[in-house]
Amino acid sequence: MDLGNTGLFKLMKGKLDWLTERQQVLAQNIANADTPRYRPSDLTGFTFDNALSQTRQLAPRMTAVGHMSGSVAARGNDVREDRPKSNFEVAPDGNSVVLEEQMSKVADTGMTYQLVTNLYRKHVGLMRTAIGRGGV
Amino acid sequence: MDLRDSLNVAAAGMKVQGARIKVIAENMANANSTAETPNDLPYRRKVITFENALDREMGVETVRVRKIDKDRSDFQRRYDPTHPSANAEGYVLFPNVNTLVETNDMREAQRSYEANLSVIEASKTLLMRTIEILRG
Repeated sequence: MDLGNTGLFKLMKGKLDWLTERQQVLAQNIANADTPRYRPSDLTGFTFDNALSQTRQLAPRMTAVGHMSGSVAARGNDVREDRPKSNFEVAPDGNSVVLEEQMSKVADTGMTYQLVTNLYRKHVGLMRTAIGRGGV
Repeated sequence: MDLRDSLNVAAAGMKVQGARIKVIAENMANANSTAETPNDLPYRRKVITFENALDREMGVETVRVRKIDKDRSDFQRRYDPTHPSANAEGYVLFPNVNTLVETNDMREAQRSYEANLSVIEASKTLLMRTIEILRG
């Protein structure tokens, strides 16, 4: 049994992947804080549906002998343009990165990351207890 | 998708802001560089522009210096007949450098540099937390 691919572990791994990718998108926005005409982007939220579509792959049904088998590839994270809430946040050169907003997103990502890694460690501890070695 | 990509993107951001500070320093240092003879032109202010660029090796979008251009605005004229480079009417051409503008530009570069640095710190913390999982 591959523990890394079971329920909660897989979900946590998905969330950590999402957070890593988000951190990269935010780093990109901040690096381009002074690039003319740059529009910041952000990942679409990590939702239950999204996580589920990544964990469970749907296989098309074969209704005739000649059909080819295959599966629908799991969708990656979706990066989309983050539209500014008001026109005032767009600089005259067309750049709409608001550093404060991006920094708070970075802080948010860091906190969630800590939450998930702690959860991960607790779960590993739980597994240890289950196999009788005493966990956290 | 890797946390090291975030580090590299933020480092690219710091690099361009460093280049910007260098250009600002050059402008500030030459704020009073007049021409040697009445016929020559004084120092011309330099402007730096950035652009968003795809790093093929990493597969992420970073930032780089697009161009270091010359500011084509008019030179300042000051009346100083005793100056060696004064023309027949006694006017001297001074560089089109406004120290107030340069100082403000420098502040902005400083803020962006700090923001990129914070991203590096944040990404580093995420990496450390990932390593902490191993400690269990």
